[in-house]
Amino acid sequence: MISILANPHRFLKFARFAGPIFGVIALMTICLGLWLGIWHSPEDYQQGHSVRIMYVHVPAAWNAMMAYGIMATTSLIAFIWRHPLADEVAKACALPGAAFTALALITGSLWGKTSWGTFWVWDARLTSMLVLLFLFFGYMSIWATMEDKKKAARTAGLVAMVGVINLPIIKFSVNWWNSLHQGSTLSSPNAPGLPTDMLIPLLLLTIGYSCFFGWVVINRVQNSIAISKKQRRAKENKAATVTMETL
Amino acid sequence: MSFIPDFGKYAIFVWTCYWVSVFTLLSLTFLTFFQNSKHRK
Repeated sequence: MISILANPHRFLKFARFAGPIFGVIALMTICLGLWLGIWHSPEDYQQGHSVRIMYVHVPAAWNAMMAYGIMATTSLIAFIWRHPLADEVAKACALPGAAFTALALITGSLWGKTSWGTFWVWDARLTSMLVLLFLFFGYMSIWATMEDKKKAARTAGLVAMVGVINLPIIKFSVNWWNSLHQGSTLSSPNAPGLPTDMLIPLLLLTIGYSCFFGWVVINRVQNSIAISKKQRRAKENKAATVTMETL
Repeated sequence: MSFIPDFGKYAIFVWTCYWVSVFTLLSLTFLTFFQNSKHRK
């Protein structure tokens, strides 16, 4: 699959039908998830209505980690096989990834105020999420400041690959250290689990956010390919003009 | 089911989270549409 999409022409063909599909699924699942989350899900017996923050906080945090995971994997692919499209995918993941990380931090902070009585604590889970945001910023600033795009891709790719160590830290921080943040509710077999009324909007919004992320990334990569084509054409025209002048 | 549900003492926190989320998603959507119109002519 990866080798098929590594060709820009094949990627564009894939993007032309996959982009709108991701977009439509995202729109439908997000609207339905928000409607169920706000109007139909029950309140928690301990947390009351503040539990509704979970429906926007958990999908944002999950997507932030997924974005970084894809960014690091595609950077590794670009590093090994030197395929420029992999770098473009990594670059395209950075902005939505940073947005989802910031969203997870803001909504988590507001949820923290209702549950723990404070907006922020230097807890392992919260701190590692903040580190993730800085990693996204670092990655984007390398692309923005280095003029040589090949060097920028290599340096930013290294940052992405080294920073991937933060993902297991975020995931397991609640098990490794004492934390105010609750443990995993869905993936742990010993966890009490969620009632269906709460699980459905959570899953819908998680699918919706993921499809939205996919839609944004596909569009951003399409734009990068369009920019590269324009730059190549401009270079060719310039070279042709110089050749004509010398003749 | 009322049109605007009452979330009691947590209303400000819950609604802020939802508005910030919708704002973030809409910002990314508009940015994407803007970049599409700029680069794919």
